[in-house]
Amino acid sequence: MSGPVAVQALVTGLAAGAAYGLIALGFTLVHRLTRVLAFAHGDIVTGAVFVAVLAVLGTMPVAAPFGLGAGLAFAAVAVAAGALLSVAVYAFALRPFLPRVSDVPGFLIRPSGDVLGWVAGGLAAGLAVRELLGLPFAQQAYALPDPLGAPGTIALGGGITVPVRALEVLAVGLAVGVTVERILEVTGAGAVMRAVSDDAGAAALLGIPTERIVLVAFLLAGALAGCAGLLIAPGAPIGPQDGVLLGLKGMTAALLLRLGSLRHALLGGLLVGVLEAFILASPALGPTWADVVVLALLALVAALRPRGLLAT
Amino acid sequence: MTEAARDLYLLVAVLGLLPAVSLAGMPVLAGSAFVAVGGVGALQLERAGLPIGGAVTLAVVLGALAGAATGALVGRAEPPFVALSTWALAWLAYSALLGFPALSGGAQGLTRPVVDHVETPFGVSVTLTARVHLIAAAVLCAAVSVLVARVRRGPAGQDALALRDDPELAAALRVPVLRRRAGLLALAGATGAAAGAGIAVALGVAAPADVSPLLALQLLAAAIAGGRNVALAVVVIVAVPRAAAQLEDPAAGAVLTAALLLAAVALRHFVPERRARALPAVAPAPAPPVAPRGLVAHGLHVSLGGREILRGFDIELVPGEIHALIGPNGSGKTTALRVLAGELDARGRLEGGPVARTFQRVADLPSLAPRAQVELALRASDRVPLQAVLDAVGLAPETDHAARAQHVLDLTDDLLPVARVVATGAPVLAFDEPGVILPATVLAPVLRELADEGRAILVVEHDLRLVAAIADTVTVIDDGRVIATGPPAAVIADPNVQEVYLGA
Repeated sequence: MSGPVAVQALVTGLAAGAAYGLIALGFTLVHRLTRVLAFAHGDIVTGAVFVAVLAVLGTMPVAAPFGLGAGLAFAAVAVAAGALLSVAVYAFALRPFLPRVSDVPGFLIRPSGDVLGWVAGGLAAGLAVRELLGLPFAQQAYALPDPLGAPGTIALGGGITVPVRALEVLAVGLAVGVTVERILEVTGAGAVMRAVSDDAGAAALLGIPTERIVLVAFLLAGALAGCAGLLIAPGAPIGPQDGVLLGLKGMTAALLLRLGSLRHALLGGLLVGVLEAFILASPALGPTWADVVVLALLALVAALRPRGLLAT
Repeated sequence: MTEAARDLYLLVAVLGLLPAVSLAGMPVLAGSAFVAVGGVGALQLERAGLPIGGAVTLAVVLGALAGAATGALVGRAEPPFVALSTWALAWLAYSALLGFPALSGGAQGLTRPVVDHVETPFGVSVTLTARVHLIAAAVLCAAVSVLVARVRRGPAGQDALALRDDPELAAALRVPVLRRRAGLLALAGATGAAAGAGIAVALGVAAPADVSPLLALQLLAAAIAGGRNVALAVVVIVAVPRAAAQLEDPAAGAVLTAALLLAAVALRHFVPERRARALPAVAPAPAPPVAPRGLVAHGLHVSLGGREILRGFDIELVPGEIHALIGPNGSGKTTALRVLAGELDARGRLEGGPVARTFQRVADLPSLAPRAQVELALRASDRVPLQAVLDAVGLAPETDHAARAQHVLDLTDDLLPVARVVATGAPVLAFDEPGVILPATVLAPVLRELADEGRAILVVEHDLRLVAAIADTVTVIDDGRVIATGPPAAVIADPNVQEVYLGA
């Protein structure tokens, strides 16, 4: 691989990775509070995008550039739809199987969650989301317009050109991810969330409304999924069925370094994105290998080092 | 009729997946990958020049190997991560088939003639019609049913139930965790591949779309439903998809699968499951005495999460002696116990053992009858007959069944944890805060008897009165170090001990 190609792969990989980082961030947030692995999270990414397409562009979208108003509306609907879908999945498919701190403080109705229950619940919810969206959007993939606009490339000198879009995605993705991570690490809201994730029973005893905190976490995770969808979807033709793979890549990012750490989730996203981009850019390999390698990595890490490669 | 054969072949895959999912509690989602190995494998091997019979056989072997490898991979993982890892494998197989047309024949898949004459090794030529497939699938179903029933009733099934109920306790009772999980998944892999190969030959095609991860979800739903009642598995894998096909809407089947999966997990607790009985009694062999063997630890160091928990811990457990380890909360008692039991690695010298341990919490295997639990541990020892264990925990030999049953009931309530560790045949037995689960008056005579038979006994406690009454030697640990060791009276009188432990 020549130098310019490698630099270009690095930049596009970092851009994709910033979006994966947002998926991983939501996944991590939800995992920290409930110990759930959110199997439907990837379907929420594409689900949010296609709900926005349905609301703003209709069932036959074309990739004509957005006006300013339509672009903003599209982005707002996608983020809101992601948040609502995420809460709906939690309420209907996960919550019935999770241990719950009851109204009586410190008294656990069910001491441990029903693992098989919430695993199956998450998988079923994801399947339902992508199949229901498959009804109006029956094609395998759609080319979607880009709310970020700005086509074209920038020459960096030395024969290196990178797409403007990649730089925009990288900037937006990192800005959103780092902002959320900082808010949760530094502010009181973050401290409350950490308290619930450390010991939900004790947090409830202290008067923290644990149920509401969990709900907020799913809301935030869904909004982040919607953001990730906005960044990823216009990059290449995409269909409702592509959500699972995006979710699995986000999970790889979340598990890769240290499961439960928001910062490591963002970093893991960048690593997965760059790994994928280099496989895509090498002539001998290509897109199938990119998927296969990331999925194999996930299968290995989940089975052998589920707390992450950096975990002690 | 071809459709019926296909349904029956799928049922074979479900039946093979049952022990892993329902007995061992592993949410295995790689079922579609195993079916792919069988279908694509058989047709590719035939293209490579093998006769179809040989190709199918070899594909099933490959499926078994893939299953065993998957089992070895996820053998140590917790159930949610088993699901995640196998879900990734299902998508890996599907992505690879879609992305590498040379492997899968592209979207159209690999094809072969549907009606085919096959020379069997017995000199008879068979024409593969739909009827032949239906019979073959039915025979395969019956054979796998019998096999699964045998697994369920045998040691493997009991080990699987123990792994589902309490993996930590199962490991402490020496259940061969990795081997069992690999074995159960090898069965799932072989039957999945057989199903895939059967379907590919019956339909004359193996296409990626038929082994999408949706199939993995259907197989899992059927295996969960079938865990309580096999008829429910038939409903999930055959009846409902057929009904959905009548709707002629491509999404209907998938949405229905989602609903079925949720229904299967949500409703499974309403179908009762019998507690597995003990295996048929084996004629008792004369009990060889437990080889007296103690345990010596010297200068053990352990750090957890960057904090040094043990800093030069010494202890000597002597056969025939009850040794108490006491110390304030957070002093390193439990960590020391875990190191001695081989659950944690430590720097330092550790000789002797092995150690079998009990847990501080109430640990039970609700799916196994008490006697079955003791037998589970006995299999690890392979030495001591059941009666010897019952004798050792103070249950006299019984002549009539009613009285014995009563004793086994007693065992459930009080002495079952003790009976389980005795049954492992370990020369060193460690009890983690037994005062939580047993009153001292019950415990003390039993421990004394176990020690008198030549075992080394370690009791980790913070109840000093209990310890003073039953121990021969007391070791006090504080902040990861031993601060006193000796006879109970001397240790209690030790000023150091009074200061850190009694707060005097």
